[in-house]
Amino acid sequence: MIKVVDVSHHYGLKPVLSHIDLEVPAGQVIAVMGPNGVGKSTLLGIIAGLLAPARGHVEVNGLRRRSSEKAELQIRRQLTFLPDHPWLPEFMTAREWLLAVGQLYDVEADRLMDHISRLLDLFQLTEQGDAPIRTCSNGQKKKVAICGALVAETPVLVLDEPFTGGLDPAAILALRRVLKHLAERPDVTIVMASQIPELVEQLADRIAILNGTRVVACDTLAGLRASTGCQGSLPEVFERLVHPQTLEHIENYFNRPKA
Amino acid sequence: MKRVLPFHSNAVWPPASMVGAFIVIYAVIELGLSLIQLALPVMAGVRELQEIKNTRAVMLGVAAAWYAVYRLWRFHPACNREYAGWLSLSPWTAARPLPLGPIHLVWQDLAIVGALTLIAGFHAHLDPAIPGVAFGLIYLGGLTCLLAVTRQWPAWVALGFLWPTLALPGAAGWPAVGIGGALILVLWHGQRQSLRAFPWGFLDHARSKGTGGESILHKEIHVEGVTNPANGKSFSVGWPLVALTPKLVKEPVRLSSGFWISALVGWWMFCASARINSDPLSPLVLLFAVLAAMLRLVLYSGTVVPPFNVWGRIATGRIIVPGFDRVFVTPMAAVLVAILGSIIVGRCGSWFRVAESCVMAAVCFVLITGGPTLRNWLLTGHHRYRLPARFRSKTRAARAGSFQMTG
Repeated sequence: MIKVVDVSHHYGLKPVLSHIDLEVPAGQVIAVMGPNGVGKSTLLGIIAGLLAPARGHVEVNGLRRRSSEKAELQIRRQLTFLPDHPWLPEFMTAREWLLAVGQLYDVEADRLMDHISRLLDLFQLTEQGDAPIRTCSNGQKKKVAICGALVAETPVLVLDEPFTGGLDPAAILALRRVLKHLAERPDVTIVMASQIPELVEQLADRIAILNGTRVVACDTLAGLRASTGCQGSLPEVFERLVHPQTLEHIENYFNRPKA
Repeated sequence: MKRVLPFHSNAVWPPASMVGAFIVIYAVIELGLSLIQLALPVMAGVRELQEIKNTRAVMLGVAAAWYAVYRLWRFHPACNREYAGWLSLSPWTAARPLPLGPIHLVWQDLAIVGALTLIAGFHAHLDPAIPGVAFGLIYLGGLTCLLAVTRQWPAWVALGFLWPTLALPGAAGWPAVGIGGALILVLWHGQRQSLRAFPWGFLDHARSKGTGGESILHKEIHVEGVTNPANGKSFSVGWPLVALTPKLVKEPVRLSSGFWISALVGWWMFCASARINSDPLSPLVLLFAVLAAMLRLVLYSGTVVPPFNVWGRIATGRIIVPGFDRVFVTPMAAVLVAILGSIIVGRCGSWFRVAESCVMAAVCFVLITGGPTLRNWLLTGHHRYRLPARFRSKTRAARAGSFQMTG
């Protein structure tokens, strides 16, 4: 379970997040959506422990982030974070790196070996998995990074734009199925930022919409539809919440009389 | 048949290539000098020139020092991990001789250093002590370093106090012999303890390479946080794992260790000051405190930055961010101790050396043991992990190469 309590943050003068309260119970997938540059990555970074918020705090499975060494290490053992641009040690092979990640999280050795082989198969990295990571394409590197997040077998996953970064359709399908499978487990909590409404609709139990430093809505798709009075697809609901004038702007664009 | 001398001590003879190289170089120089004398009668006294004597002194000193390095490098298990790994799998114990050869001094060492001494005294007309001193300094210094490598801290600290004592003005003649004797005794005891403690902890990795008992995983790759304690090598697991690792191996320095390190620094300061017979060195102590405080700050802020910048502090009125600014407390306290100490040193009269050494030790103690510990800071500090510089250019390149949306 993840609890974001009254979190506010700013890097300089401009506030990025203001009084964010969010609760993700165990066994739920929550998708964070919002316009570009609204602070989704910052929020995920705060949950993942990359940065301390200017105000407020985050709790993971009842433990408060950065409250004590013991609590912080315990949280780290329970949580993996996939940033939008991960950096992988390029001199290692994907298999070696995944072994290292698994060992960091104390995954039992035999299970780890087996899991890595299955993951490499799943993401069509069987051949590339034994070549240095530097020889991988951007998309393949993203796949390796996703495998790294999954191989740790932690109950909490924080994923920043997992479906972007050059993933091919097969990998998107595979990741979607894996996340769907994980989401069925009652002990797994997933927070992900994504801009792909179709995938969010299929995966997320709830959708948190960030706009102008605040969470403007956090509900199921049905709940969002009810609250906005819009019975359309998620993009339409999203536009209604974030850019209510967008549809009007589009109409204006096409209907403007020629000079 | 009982051997009069342990057979393995014969192994310490330097290899023929080493002896041959020395003979050839020495002979070439001597031949050159003879040719000069023959060709130029005016240069008959060339062998007595100070430059030539200096060259010979350096050559003999280097030869003796090189032999000392060879003795340690070739025969000490801590210098050769494969040897140590093999030894740890054998039934060898510290009560038995080391199979490749001893690390303590044997008659062959006396023969080699004695030969160099004879050359220095009778042929090169130099101080005959030069080869012996060079050998002794390198051999004993090397053994001292190896005590640190094998984590024999009590003996190492004792040696840390004894070595600089040799630099004190009164440590000449018999006192020097006494100090040297104490040094050798401590080293001998430390080495015995070190061999008894074999196999040393840092050999785990080397040992695991050869055994079949451990998982194949641990043979292939050994990861423990971001630094592998088995071989001491830094091992980056990439970003952001390097920052969010669940295995942080940075252990805090114990109070007792902080005390002894500080005491050693103070003692070294005292010996150096007495040796150069200096006036009060208060500015130097202050400079040391400032530099050491900055070093600590660099260590603590190498991977992290404040959660928000100065303008953010001003705009929000939060000039002090306790969760982050606590990192400045200890460095500032150390500089304050140095300033106050400098005032005290100025009022201590003839005891100024003792006072400035105490100030130096106090500065070190504050910096080493003052909170927060690096581990505590990295885990609980209110900071923002910074993408390490070596990752930044790659990340920019990745962004430039792929058109991705980020939130």
